[in-house]
Amino acid sequence: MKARFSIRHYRRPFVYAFILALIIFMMVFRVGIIGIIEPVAVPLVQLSSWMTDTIFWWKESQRITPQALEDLYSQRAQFALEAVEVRRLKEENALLREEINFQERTGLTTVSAQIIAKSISRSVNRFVLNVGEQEGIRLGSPVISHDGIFVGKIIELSSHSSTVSSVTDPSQSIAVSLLNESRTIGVASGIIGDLIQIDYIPVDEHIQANDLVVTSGLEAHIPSGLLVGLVNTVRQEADSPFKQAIVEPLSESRRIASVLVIISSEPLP
Amino acid sequence: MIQRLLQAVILCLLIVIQVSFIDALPFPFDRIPLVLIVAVYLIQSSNGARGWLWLIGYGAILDMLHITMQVTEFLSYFILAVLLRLFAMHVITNRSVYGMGIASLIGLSTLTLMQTVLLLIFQHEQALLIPGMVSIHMWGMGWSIVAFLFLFPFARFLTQNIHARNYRSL
Repeated sequence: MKARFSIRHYRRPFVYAFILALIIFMMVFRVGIIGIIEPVAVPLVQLSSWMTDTIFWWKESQRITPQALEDLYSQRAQFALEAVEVRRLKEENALLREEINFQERTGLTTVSAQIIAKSISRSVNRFVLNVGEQEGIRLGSPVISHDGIFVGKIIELSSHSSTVSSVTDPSQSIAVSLLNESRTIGVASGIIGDLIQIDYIPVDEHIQANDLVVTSGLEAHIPSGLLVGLVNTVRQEADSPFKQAIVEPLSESRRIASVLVIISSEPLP
Repeated sequence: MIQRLLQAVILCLLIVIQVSFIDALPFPFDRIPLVLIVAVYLIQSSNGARGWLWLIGYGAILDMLHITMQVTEFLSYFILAVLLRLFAMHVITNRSVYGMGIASLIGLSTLTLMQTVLLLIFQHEQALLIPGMVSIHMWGMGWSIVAFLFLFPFARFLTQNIHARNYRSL
């Protein structure tokens, strides 16, 4: 007896071909997928960031010693005194600018964005935002936290979404400068362990732990002065003409659920 | 048709939970390969008939989001899906928790190998990241064993109830 003719056998290759074509189309145009997942993804990211933040502070509270706590209290008093001096200098600066009719430096224009997907692991630190070209974002636009700390930069862009490479992503690097005596300039790359490394620093540059690291402004779209991190250790191999600085970033990609993307910054006069 | 649509919705939900929730959890919980675990269960329990397209879809969505360091995840997951399907049909025909555990270990080993090869071919300057990637998949193997040990009886109970309900409605 002959096998009965079944239209299903002929339909199946067309179904598979259609699915493959749909996948390729969506990969090329990234159409709709972000819009579909966003309503569910944003609350999930916020929930997991809250859990990570809670666990982080719980672990820190278990680890802190009485001496470290004492040091933090004395640092707080010192920062309070410095804040008073900074406020006085700002008022004086504003007065002097007014007297000589100096043009004001305008602030940064930012766009608020929610994180809808993260890939924070030992080998890659990236996340996806729900803003894209339509909201004024450009490739290479810097991303900062709500505290103004540099988090990363845009590496992929579509009309309503973008992918950010975190400052600790091993596949990316940014131009930075250190707020030391000689204003050392270098290129910072992410390394495994959620840290940043600055290589090829000449040995005669004076760098020490706790030096602030900021963006240098040498990259397109990234203004200078955005805080990146603090120097943790400085090391030099024997017979090497260069030093290496390990920087601890001040932003933590795991614990944030929303960021600001800088879309324009006015240049200095 | 409705069943296919429901499967697509469940797949989307699982992927969103994977990339938006699990991947954002603190270590080591961010290593849980939820989509892979569910896909392996489906592939093994249906003898390779179902679940393999889920892995291909997952790879495609990872490529769309550009959140991994690989040039393409679609190729790795495509090969993984075909391999797991062939294994379920001809090699690991055991549908017990042991068969599923072994299938998930083979799957993750294959994925590690594929991604290492792709990284060496297309991004050899990032070869230092390979130990980190292997570490992620090792944790994934551990989590998949734990998941199958503790959730397998529940999953089987659920699947059997759904099949019984479908049979009664006929």
